[in-house]
Amino acid sequence: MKTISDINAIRDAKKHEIVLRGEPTPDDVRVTIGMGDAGLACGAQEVFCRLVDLVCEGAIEHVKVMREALDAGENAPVVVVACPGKDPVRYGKVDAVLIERILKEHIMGGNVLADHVID
Amino acid sequence: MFRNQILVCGGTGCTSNHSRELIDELRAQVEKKGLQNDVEIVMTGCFGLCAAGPIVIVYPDGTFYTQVQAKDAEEILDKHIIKGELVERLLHVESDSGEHTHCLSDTEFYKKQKRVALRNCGVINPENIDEYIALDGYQALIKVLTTMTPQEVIDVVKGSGLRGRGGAGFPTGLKWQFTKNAEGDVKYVCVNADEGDPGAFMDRSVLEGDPHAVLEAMTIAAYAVGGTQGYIYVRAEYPIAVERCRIAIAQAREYGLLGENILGTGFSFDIDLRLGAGAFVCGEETALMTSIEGNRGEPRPRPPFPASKGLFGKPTLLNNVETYANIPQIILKGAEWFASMGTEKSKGTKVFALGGKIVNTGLVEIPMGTTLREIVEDIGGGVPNGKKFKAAQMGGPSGGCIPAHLIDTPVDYENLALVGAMVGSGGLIVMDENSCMVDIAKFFLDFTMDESCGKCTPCRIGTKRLYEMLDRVTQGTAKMEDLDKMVELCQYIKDNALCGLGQTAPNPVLSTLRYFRDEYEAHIAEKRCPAGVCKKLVRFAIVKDSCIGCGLCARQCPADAIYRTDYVAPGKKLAAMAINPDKCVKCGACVETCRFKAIIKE
Repeated sequence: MKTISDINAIRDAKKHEIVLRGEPTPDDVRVTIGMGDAGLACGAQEVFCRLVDLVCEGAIEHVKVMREALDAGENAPVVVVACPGKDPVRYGKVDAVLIERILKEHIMGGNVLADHVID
Repeated sequence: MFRNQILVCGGTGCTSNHSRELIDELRAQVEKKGLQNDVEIVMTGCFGLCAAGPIVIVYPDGTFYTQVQAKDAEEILDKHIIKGELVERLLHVESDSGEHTHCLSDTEFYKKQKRVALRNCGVINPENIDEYIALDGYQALIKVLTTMTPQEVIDVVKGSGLRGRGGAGFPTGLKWQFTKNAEGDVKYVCVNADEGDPGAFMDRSVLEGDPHAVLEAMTIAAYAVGGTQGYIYVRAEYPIAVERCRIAIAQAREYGLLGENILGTGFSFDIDLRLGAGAFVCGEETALMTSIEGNRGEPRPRPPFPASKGLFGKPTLLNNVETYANIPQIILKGAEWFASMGTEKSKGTKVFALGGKIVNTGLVEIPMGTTLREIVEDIGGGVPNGKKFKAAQMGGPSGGCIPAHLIDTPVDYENLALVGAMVGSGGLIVMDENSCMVDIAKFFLDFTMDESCGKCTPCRIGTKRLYEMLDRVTQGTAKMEDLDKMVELCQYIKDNALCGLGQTAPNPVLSTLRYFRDEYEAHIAEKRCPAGVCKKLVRFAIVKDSCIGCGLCARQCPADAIYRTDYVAPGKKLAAMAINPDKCVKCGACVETCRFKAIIKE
């Protein structure tokens, strides 16, 4: 038999596991990772894993992780950040460290990392 | 933790489309490709868009794949999970625009919906209590048990304006209050999951997709009214729902959420399952309780109402599945939140089961007051094959039809009653120009006649006589004055039948007579079925000058009723065909076969 605090502990632990299962809403920031052949060759999978982990850990809310086969050539892996009501911003040569900065500085802080933006 | 979660619908619709095999194949492929630590395969309840099943959603993206078969499993893993590439051919295609949609929430079907009762259906694994808890499951129960008095709970339910979702629309809070006020050492809390209406399946989906919500709500209700024992009365024809309820009850007991001293708060309540044996009348509340008692399911006169003298003669609270499914959210988010949705007298949302001649067959949950047009055209995707919308039957065999010119009627308790239909259990069957309204009325009456328990004469004999009259109309042997006799008999059955089944059985006849009397008259006066459905009144014939004599129709005819004549039409090489009316079974196979439109139906 469980107590109320046991139930709350289950909720808090399990929440992280199913946070990914939300349908995107208009308020969500959509972060799309370009997988494609070039992306995968340059570590897009690691970027994806890092981003998903950050979302699951609860580092940030209202972020929807998407994947697409974007062809980015030498800029791979590419990440597109679409904040609600703003034009999407494309970042090139993103790695696991940069994605965390994008999350913290761009999405949470509102400052675009201009050095890494590509057209 | 799994970074990729593949959700597969395990509801009845998708299961019958082999979603279990798909789940097995996905799991086997995940194993084979060594993705066990990256990919979780989750079986969920119903997503709603049953017409497109089996349905798969891949998270985190939320990509929505439809009609997925076991053979597609490997491609989804190879392309989507490993390469991040969409499997285009499995994406949902919008019926009107032909465009591919990426996410379920982007589909026209989903956009106008507001999910309260169905919020967890298609999101969690219903066989895993932890996933329910993760989405604030059982938090409403904790709130009630630790911070609220029973009266405060009832006041919240009253304030929300929630009304019974099973048919009659009685205010739920009042029902709870009556049961609480009734004197009794033992009180029962029951849920009516004997969903017998043809075309309604929302209760099944809630039990299949989110059984813990019903258990939690019943426990809250028991605390509010002083209940000691609960019963889920579910039809045996819902094997998946029954199994999930069993699992859910066992898990809740193990966690101490049911049984003695719940969560150490001193409150005790337990729930058992009772299976119905397939009688429609057992969805009527007094018959349902008679059946739980172990007797033949027959209704008894009211009053006394269940709230004062119900199951085993004790005060009993009986609500519908969907009604309960709203309760935990009302407790957590407050009465005002719920009352902010819907219309002045009909609050909240209602689930409808879309069926019949509609593109998106499935379950939709919409705020009360949404118009029928929005439900049928926007969410339902309209009538397939370019046919015209003729009417919608709302409320199943107890309800009535809404004709095309009233399609802008807001769907709520009051407005539907005004046009002669009812919210009922929420079955919504769409009919197109090829549906004969007399035949529809006959279909529903055939059902209620067959399901009449036979206890009272107006229902047992009245529905039989009414059916015979309808049958004569479809055979072309009725007289004009029969229509007035039918109305008189309908009124008599309504006024005198013992229970809701009998009292509402004539509704489909009355409402089709109200809106489509001309069709009845055409059957009688002109011996003609305008929709070409009633076989006795339909005739097939071959226009001899259009027939090229290919003989395809004769090969398709199952009754050998088509023969070759001696007549060769001008400009044709072979002799024309003709139909022998004595042999013709009026199946229409020849019409579909003929590429020269030479066969007519009149």
